[in-house]
Amino acid sequence: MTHEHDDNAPLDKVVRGCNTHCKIKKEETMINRRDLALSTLAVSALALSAPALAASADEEAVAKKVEAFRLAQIAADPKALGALCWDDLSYSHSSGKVEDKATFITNATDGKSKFLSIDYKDPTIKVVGPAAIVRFHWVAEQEMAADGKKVPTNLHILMNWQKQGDEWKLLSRAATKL
Amino acid sequence: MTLNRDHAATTDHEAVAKNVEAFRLAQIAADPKALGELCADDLSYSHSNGFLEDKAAFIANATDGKTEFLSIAYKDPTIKIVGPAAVVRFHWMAEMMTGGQKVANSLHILMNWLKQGDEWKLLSRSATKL
Repeated sequence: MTHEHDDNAPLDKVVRGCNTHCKIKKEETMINRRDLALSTLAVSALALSAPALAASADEEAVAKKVEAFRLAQIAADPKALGALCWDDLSYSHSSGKVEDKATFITNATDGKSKFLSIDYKDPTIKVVGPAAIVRFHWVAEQEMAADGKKVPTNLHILMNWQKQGDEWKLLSRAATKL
Repeated sequence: MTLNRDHAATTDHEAVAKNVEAFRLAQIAADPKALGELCADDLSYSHSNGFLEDKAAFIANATDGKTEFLSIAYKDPTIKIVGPAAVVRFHWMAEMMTGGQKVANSLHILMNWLKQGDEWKLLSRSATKL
């Protein structure tokens, strides 16, 4: 094979048995490499887009449910909360108190306190197969029915959502005081 | 007729319990390889002050020698299997040397494990002070 030898050129290609730096005809290379790059990009885009689209569809679905949960907590709506949670729900508070589904819903809707506001700030959602890891900064104000006292809470929340058939439902939740 | 009576299949519950115990030991040993094998690549690990780590950060911080665990107990653990997920909770009690001081802490832990292939791996963890 004949090729130009340019000792100052960067090492483009090592031709077998050739110990000198080789410079492949630049124009030819540019066209070939560009075509290759474009077709690789197209193929990669296709290959990546399907799972990427699926992942973001799941993320959107989870985001919708997380928002619905936030609203259901404010509304103290037992039916809505029930529909959003697995029967195997494991829900814990920043005190470490753990509730099952029935207890959580009862306590969240017994009227002993009322949420004036709940914010889920800076939420992140990561879908991993059938699971979704959701974290956010909870900022809320409750009013105690007994004495009207206002109680603010400021927590880091971890929610674990799991797909049940086509529906994402809350499986576990933990809170830690900030 | 039951074949292989002596070779009962490991239930998911047993497999998770085994990995939870392995995790506890790996934390005490500050063993990055063992911790690496027990955690999903998408691990999301948080501490009782809200500090959040991904897999690389968790392993780096758990094994950099700045803290040495004298003991870690996972008291009263509960494991619930829900399809490919396992919800694990326990009362963490540990003693550690950090900054030349002996420190003890008591936390409620929530671990979420996910079955990936045949292996159960830790996907997320959070802690709250007791």
